[in-house]
Amino acid sequence: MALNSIGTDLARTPSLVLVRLWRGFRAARRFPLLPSLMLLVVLVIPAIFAGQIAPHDPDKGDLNDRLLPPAWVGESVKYKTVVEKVNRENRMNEIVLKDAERRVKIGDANVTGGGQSVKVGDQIEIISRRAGSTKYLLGTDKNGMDIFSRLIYGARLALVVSLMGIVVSGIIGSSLGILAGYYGGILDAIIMRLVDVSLSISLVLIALVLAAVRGPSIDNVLVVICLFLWSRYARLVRGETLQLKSQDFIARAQVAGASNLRIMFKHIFPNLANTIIVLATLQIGFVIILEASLSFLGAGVPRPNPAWGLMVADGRELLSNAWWVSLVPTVAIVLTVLSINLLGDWVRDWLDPKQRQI
Amino acid sequence: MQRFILIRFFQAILAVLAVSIIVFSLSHLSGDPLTTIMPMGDVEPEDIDALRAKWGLDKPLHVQYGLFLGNAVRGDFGESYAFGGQTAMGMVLLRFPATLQLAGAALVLTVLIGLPLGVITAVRKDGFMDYQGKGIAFLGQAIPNFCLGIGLMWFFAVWLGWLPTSGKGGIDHLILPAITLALFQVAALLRLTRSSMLEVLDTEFIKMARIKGIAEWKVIWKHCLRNAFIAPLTYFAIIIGSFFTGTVVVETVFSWPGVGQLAVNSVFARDFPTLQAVVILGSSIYIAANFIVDIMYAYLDPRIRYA
Repeated sequence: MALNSIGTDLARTPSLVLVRLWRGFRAARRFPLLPSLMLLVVLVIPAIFAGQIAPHDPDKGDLNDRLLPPAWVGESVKYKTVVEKVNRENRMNEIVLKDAERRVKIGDANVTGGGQSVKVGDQIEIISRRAGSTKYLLGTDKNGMDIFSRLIYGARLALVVSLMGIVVSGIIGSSLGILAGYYGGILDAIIMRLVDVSLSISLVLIALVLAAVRGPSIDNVLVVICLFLWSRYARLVRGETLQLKSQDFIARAQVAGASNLRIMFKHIFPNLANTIIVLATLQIGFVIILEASLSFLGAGVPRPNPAWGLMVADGRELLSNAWWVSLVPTVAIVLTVLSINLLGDWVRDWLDPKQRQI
Repeated sequence: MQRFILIRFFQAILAVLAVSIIVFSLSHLSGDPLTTIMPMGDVEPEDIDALRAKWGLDKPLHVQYGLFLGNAVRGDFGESYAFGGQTAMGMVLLRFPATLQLAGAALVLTVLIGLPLGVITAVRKDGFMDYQGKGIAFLGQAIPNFCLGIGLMWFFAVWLGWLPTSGKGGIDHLILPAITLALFQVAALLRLTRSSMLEVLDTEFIKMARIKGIAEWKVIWKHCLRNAFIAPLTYFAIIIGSFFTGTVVVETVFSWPGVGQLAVNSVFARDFPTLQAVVILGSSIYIAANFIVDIMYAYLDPRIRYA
């Protein structure tokens, strides 16, 4: 009685709204809202509307704007010094500086007070890094290409390559899995040995050989993904097919005179759809990592395509002077894979609560 | 058991053969390797023919494969195209200690971090440490290792200036690459140890040990961990196998002069013998590791043999 009255007292207080909101939030938390939004912002929207969003051409750079930092980064002055000699002979147009090994061009954008009228004895400042501008939101790389635009087109590349890889390997793997599970016997034995072989081969090493032979290309990435991903589908689908095959409705379909092909397509496949979708969503993150890693190694997408992995590789040597060139795409990759994995876990729990193993 | 080992062994050999066939046929897909590596212009046709005969490129493909396989078994992958006079195997062996050092350091890190964290997160299930552990496990498996490498390099080497950015030198050069290589496996080992510990913590004999009044640390680290150790123990082979392929990326990030970097460099130099040597050796280590895992599992858990 006492407890009840406390309950109703609470119910009448304004905090009920908060409690309700909290409960609603708890329920909604099962759906990973934040990761999904992040995924939309980082991957899907840029991939679809790349042409509309990107402010610059991803493959054309302005060499005057090389290695500009992101918009929010200010300029940094490295040192002040005195002009020791002005060298205008033979179109050299150089300023020789006191106490410095470096010579700079007259009129260099990185020098203040080093214009055409510079004289010996002038005070000048060498700017080691120019300020970022809103023209290039996330800065530029060593070719003066806009990193923001390249990131956006890179999202399209990552999405297209990974989806194609997933779909093709999914179709091949599922078909072979159903065939192996349904017919059994020697066909099953051959397919499953191939699966074992495929699962025990290292992807990166084979991709390197392929790249050495044919040069880096998007086709290579797709071939590597398909050659090795199909086996995961095949193994899972075969197991499920074996279970389904022993059930009554398959035997009845056979008695009713359905052809083997019809049974596999109309009776077995629909029962496997959830499993296949779950595996596919769980593989997207893996495939994006694989594509990015191969591109990073120079064995994946060739230059000058705006692949994220390539962008990271291009900025690796510049890390101490221009961190943004490789850190910006690194962050994009990490955010994408994190949110895809969170979303994949949710899809698995939603569609297939039994199979938390995969 | 003998039959099981024999079957698995046969499968492992099959996998190695498959790798050798893939590598061999891919290397000959591009046509004549000599045309791609010869300098343009001033090469006499007789010199090309001599080189072709020397490397056995004038024989039919299946004969070449037979020769290739026979030589490969003896560890002879021919002369490196890029470094004249060096054998491909010699190049790999020259680089091998550096890779071994990196993989060893990563293994030590994995065990020192992954195992205790797995135990603690299981004991303090749903506690603060467990949430931290879940975070590490999730991040470790979602962050690609070259991204982690670049991030660590920027933060510790460029921003803080505590550690060298890349190359090989003292122990300080080893820290960042080893962490990068280890994190994924730390996450995996943590998850494996945690779930295995949770299972054992729930058993009667642990209850019994507690009732007997044995100190809690002894119950956990001695009675419980010893029994929970089977799954992580067999996983070590997988860890070692994956380190040898993971080094390809990590060595490229940190300019670590190991076998992985050699593989990437030989891609650009189109140095097929060296690449073949790396890929076949690397794949063999990976396949052997998988084989050892299967055998250890079957030995420790007899139910698997009959599956």
